[in-house]
Amino acid sequence: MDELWRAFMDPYFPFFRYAFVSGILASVSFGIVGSYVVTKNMVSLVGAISHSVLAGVGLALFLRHRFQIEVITPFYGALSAGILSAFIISFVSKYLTGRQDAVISAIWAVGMAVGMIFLAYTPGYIDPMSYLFGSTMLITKNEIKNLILLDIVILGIAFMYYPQFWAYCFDEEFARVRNVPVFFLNTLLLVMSAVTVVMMMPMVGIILVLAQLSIPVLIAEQFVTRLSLLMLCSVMLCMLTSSIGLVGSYKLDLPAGPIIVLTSMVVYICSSIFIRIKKRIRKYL
Amino acid sequence: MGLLKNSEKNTLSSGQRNSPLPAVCIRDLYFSYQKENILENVNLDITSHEFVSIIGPNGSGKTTLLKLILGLLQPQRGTLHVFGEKPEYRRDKIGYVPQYFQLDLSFPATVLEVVLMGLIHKKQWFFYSSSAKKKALEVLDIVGLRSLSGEMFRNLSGGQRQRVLIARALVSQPEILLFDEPTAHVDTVAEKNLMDLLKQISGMLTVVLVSHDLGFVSKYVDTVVCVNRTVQKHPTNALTGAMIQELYGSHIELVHHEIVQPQERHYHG
Repeated sequence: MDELWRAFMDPYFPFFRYAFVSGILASVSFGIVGSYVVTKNMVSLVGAISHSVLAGVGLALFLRHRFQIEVITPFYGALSAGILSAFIISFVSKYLTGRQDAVISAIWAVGMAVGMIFLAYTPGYIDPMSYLFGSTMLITKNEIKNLILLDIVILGIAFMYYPQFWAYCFDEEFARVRNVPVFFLNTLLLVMSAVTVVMMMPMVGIILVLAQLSIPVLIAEQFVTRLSLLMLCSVMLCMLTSSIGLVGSYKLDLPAGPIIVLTSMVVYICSSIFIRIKKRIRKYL
Repeated sequence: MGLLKNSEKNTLSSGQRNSPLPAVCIRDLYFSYQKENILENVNLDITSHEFVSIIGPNGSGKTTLLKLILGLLQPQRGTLHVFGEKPEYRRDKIGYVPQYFQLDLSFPATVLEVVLMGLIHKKQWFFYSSSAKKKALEVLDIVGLRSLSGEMFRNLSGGQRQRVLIARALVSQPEILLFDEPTAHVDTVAEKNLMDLLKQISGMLTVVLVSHDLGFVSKYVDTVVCVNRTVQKHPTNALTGAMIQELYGSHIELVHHEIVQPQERHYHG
């Protein structure tokens, strides 16, 4: 414990501290957006967005290294690619009448392909693994500032549109009959998901991010009766699992992303078993 | 289910302005999905305070007609007006009750929250007001579910869920209520209770219900709209076996259901 505290406070080794703080900050958006995404059954759409983010990362690294454009960081590249693919997917789900899942899977793969081509053209060797599965070394002080800003924006939107998102997630057809702007909300939720995915990208990577978005919500769903409570519990569970996962990865000297995801899964399995046992006991009493 | 109390009648009818305009007016309407005509040359008037059932075989276009009246679909030709205007501009006057099993039951929703959804509009931000909650509880009283307002929607029976959806449609004080198969997937006793409730509500507003069970609804509704690409409207008592045979294309007889109340059981230990 003492060693862990020293690693946390070490002024010459800020990575662990940054990773911890960014995990806590990203969890706020993850719990809120994840609750909407899981209850609306659109996790696969967010999967397509998160994977196509690699195109933006690749393009940003290519421009930085080939043309020395320092302003374009992989974070901004990922953010732009995520938002662009959110708009494309929103339009596809509105205007394409058949085979939507196939087209969305194609966007998923094309995004990754474009990203890999840009990385191949980038001078020097860049390991895509750190973007795909996360690397806490990618987190900088500047990104923590970005996380705070994005958290505030996402919190504001999520609460301002709470009744409308609630209606849209529960019964989209009825929401349309009540003049709720369903297409706008769908696009907004996809854009918020894109932003959230990019926030958690350095921690768990763009492939594993889907698990951390949905597993805390699945755990919380077993205990709560309201969407607002689902959000609160998901935020706390996301904070808890990412912190435990981070400490675990430090102790075991393993990459943080996979450990965080496995921690979430263990909590999910334990909570499911607990709920079943509780139900059985109640039945016999 | 007893008769509605005076205060409950006020809750339902205070939104009504007793429009002189017909509730629904359809002229020369055509609708098609991918070049295949679903509805052809439809002309239909539904007057204010009428209790109407839309019937027809599978694929006849009855749900399409309902969605056109809701403004969820647009006709390729012809006009459709609800209280004198396009349905999109009259949604404040329209109440809609979908089939409850279309909803995602794993969604964490309480009964009160589902009813409050009926009050949502474009600029409903942050949270619902306490007066909205009061209104929702009043309407839950009408459908007999006030005591279950804090219960989770998924824990209710089929008949109770349908009642909650009726309350959700009523809470915005509509002038026309549209139902999509209200008695599908509910047992016979719950079906009769639901129809009794609809009969009471129908005295105060226009009620249109899509149903597959003509024998059952014919005991309650004033008018039947037969849909099979085209539309014909008949008073319920003028409906004959020949008309139904023509509609469904096979020999079908009108049979009235008998509701058998479950008998009290005595257990001997």
